[in-house]
Amino acid sequence: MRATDIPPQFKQLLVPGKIQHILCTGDLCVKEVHDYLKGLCSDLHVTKGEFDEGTYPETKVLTIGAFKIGISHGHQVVPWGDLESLAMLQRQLDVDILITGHTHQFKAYKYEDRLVINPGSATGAYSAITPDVKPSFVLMDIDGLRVVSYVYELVNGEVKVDKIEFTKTS
Amino acid sequence: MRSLVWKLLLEYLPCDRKKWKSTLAAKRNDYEQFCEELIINPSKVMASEADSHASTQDGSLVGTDVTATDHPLSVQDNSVWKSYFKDTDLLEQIDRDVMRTHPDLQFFSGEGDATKKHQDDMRRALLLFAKLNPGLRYVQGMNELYAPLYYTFSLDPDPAMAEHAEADAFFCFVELISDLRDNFCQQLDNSGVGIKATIGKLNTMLSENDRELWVHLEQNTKVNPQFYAFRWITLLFTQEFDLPDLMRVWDSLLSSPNGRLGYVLTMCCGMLMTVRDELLTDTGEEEVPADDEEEPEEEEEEPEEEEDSQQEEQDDPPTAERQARYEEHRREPAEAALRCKPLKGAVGVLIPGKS
Repeated sequence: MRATDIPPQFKQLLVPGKIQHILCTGDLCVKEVHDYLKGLCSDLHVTKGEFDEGTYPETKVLTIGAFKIGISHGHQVVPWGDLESLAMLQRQLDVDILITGHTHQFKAYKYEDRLVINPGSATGAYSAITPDVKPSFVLMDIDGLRVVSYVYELVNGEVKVDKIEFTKTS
Repeated sequence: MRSLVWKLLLEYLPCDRKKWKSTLAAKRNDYEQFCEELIINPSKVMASEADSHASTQDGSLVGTDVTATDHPLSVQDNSVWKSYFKDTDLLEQIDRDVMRTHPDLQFFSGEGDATKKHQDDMRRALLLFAKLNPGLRYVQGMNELYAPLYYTFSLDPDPAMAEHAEADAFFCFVELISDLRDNFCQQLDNSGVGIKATIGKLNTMLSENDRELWVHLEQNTKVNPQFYAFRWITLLFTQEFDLPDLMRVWDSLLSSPNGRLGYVLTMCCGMLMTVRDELLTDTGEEEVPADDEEEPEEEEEEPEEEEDSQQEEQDDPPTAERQARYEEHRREPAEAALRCKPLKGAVGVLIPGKS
């Protein structure tokens, strides 16, 4: 059911020294994955997924630059992946950017001038929502009030990169 | 005053007073351009004006495909991000050193906007230098050489000058380092012009001037001159003196008619000879001569033999007077240097007469 590892095409790109923070919504499942991420960047923030043991929190809020960012795995929010429900969590946490996972499907929404992102699954593990899971992750470049999200997707064995831009109002 | 004189001595300003304005404007403009061209901010390059639009179906945002162009993890050679990360490594190294430049001075390290600006300025200038001089890049210690220049220029009483301290100090730093670059270059360490050769010269000089001390150091204690002189020479005594004292030393250094490196060696030699009695009583148990002990008594000692022996000698004030001397140095800084300039090559007036 779960995937064994992050695809080599991604691992090739992800090298230490380029990323300042890692925000992970959870379901790392084993400590080795945690260690791998920690090796990429020591500032690692993880929330608890369905298959995680250990002491990760259910939600986590942190501030990076001008942005307040909330992380949650997302299986607690029903219906899964539903924008309105996610927006509710976003208001609860009072964050500019909400990052959730669980659906293993990349999605990005702009909702009431806030950003909701689901980076998908970096491994491309099974999803209960879609039969067609593409491994993906998102890299955010925060510059002042502007955030450019680079979406890395593995399509037919090739890495595809998309860019999504968002500006915080005020 | 000192700020102006140093600029003249480092040939940043031409001798013709009328050309000052245009020279400064041109140089500062150059500097700005360097900054623009060489300091990369991929966020600015990559960001387009508009936000991404939502798709009509489910309201999710639609991305633009940038696989072929550029993205942060790109491994292509022409990637802005790739060169940015390369710079980041360099910047990290510079940053580490900038943060520990003169930790005792509020100007360089501490809290507050002014301090932060000074650190940013230094960082930028050093990064520019590294990028403009790929052969040398950044070598640890350059921050120490840039700092006194920047400090002096920033405290220029004329706000119009102080404002451009970063750019001015940058060009002066380039000039200063051009004299010393061989000492900084690791590849040349063992060659005829590298740091080892320079230290060799110092050793020869010492043997000529103080045979007894030289023999003692060479044979009894077997101290490798590299242990102490390396730092003196490459960092131009910045680690040996407090900043106010150092500025006085640099006045002489920059105005030295015999070439700056010559002055440095003479000074080193003088510093050794100043503490010769202590060194001679040392049996070799303590390996490296303690730098601190030499500090109070520096400058006046050295040049007798080397320079054309025409300086006005001055008794070394005892430690108690040091504080007063600091002040004095600060106020009437580079007069000696001024006097020195027109006499270039003829007479070495190294010491300001205090009479």
